[in-house]
Amino acid sequence: MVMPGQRTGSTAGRKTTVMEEKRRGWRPGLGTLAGVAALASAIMALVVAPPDAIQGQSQRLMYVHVPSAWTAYCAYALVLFSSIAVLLRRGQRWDALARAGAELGVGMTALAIVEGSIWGHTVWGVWWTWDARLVTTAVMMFLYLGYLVARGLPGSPERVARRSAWLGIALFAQVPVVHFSVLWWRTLHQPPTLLRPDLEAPIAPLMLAALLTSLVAFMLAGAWFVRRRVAQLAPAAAPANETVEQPAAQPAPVRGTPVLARGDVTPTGAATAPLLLTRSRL
Amino acid sequence: MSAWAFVAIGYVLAACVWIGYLVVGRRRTRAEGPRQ
Repeated sequence: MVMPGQRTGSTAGRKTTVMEEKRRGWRPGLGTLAGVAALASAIMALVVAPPDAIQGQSQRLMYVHVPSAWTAYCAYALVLFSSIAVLLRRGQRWDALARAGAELGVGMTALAIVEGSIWGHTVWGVWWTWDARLVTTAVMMFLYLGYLVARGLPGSPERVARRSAWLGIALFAQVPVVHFSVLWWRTLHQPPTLLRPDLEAPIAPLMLAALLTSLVAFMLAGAWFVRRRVAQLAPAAAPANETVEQPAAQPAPVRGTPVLARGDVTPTGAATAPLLLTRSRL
Repeated sequence: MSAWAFVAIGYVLAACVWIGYLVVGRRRTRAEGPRQ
C-alpha cells in the first residue's frame, strides 16, 4: 500500500512521491469544470434547444461547429500574443504557449470544417463547395499546420522561437479574412449570427443559451489543454531562456585517481568543459 | 440517414477530437529530461 508522501519511484531513478504525482498529474479544477460544462452543453444542445424552423434537427450541429471555429480564433489570438511576447520578453514559456495555441487551433479548425461539412451535406446537399468561407478556413488551417511543421526546422531553441514568433504574428492576418469572408464576398455560408457589425443577434434565446454553454465548454477544455501542454513543453521551474549547468553524473573516484574540477586539464591534456544544457522543451 | 444520425456523428466526432487532446495533454513528456 502506498501512503501519501511515500516514494513510488522505482522507475529509472525518478524520485517522485504520491503527492508530487497528484500535483503534476490530474488538475481537477479546470478539467472538471470543462467536463461539467460539456455535459451541460450536450443537454442544452440536444434536449433543451428547439429544432430550427427550416433546417430541423440537423441545425444542432451548430452547437459544435460554431464553438469549434471560435475556439480556433481564440487559439490563433493566443499564438499572436504569445509570439509578440516571445519577441519582447524572449521567454521559452511564451513560445510553448504559442505552440500549444497552434496545436489547439489546427485541431479546432479541422473539427469546424468537418462539422460544417456534415451540416452542409444535410442542408446544402453537398459535402464541400468552393465557398469563400470554406476555402479561407481551409487555408487558415493549412497555414497554421505549416507553422507547426516549420517549428521542426533545425536551429537553436532561441532561433526557432524567434522565427516561429514572426511567423505566428504574420499568419494571424488570415483570421479576420476568414471571419469577414461572409461579408466581403457573396457566399453560400450564412453571415455571422453573433459577432455581427450591427451587434444584433438574430437567434432564439434558448438557442443562444445552448450556443453560449457550448462555447464555454469548448473554451474551458481548450484552456485545460493549453495549460497542460505548456507544462509539458516548458516546465514552470525553468525561467525564460535560462541556461543551467547540468551536474554531470560523477562516478565514484577510484583510489589514487585525482579528482578534477571543471576547467582542469586531464593527464591526457583534454580540458573538462562544463556541460551546458538549455532547459527548453521545444 | 436521418438528421439525427448526422447530428450523432458530429457529436461523437467532436468527443473523439477532445479525447485526443486529453491524451496529448496528459502525456508525460517531462520524464524524458531536458534536450541538449
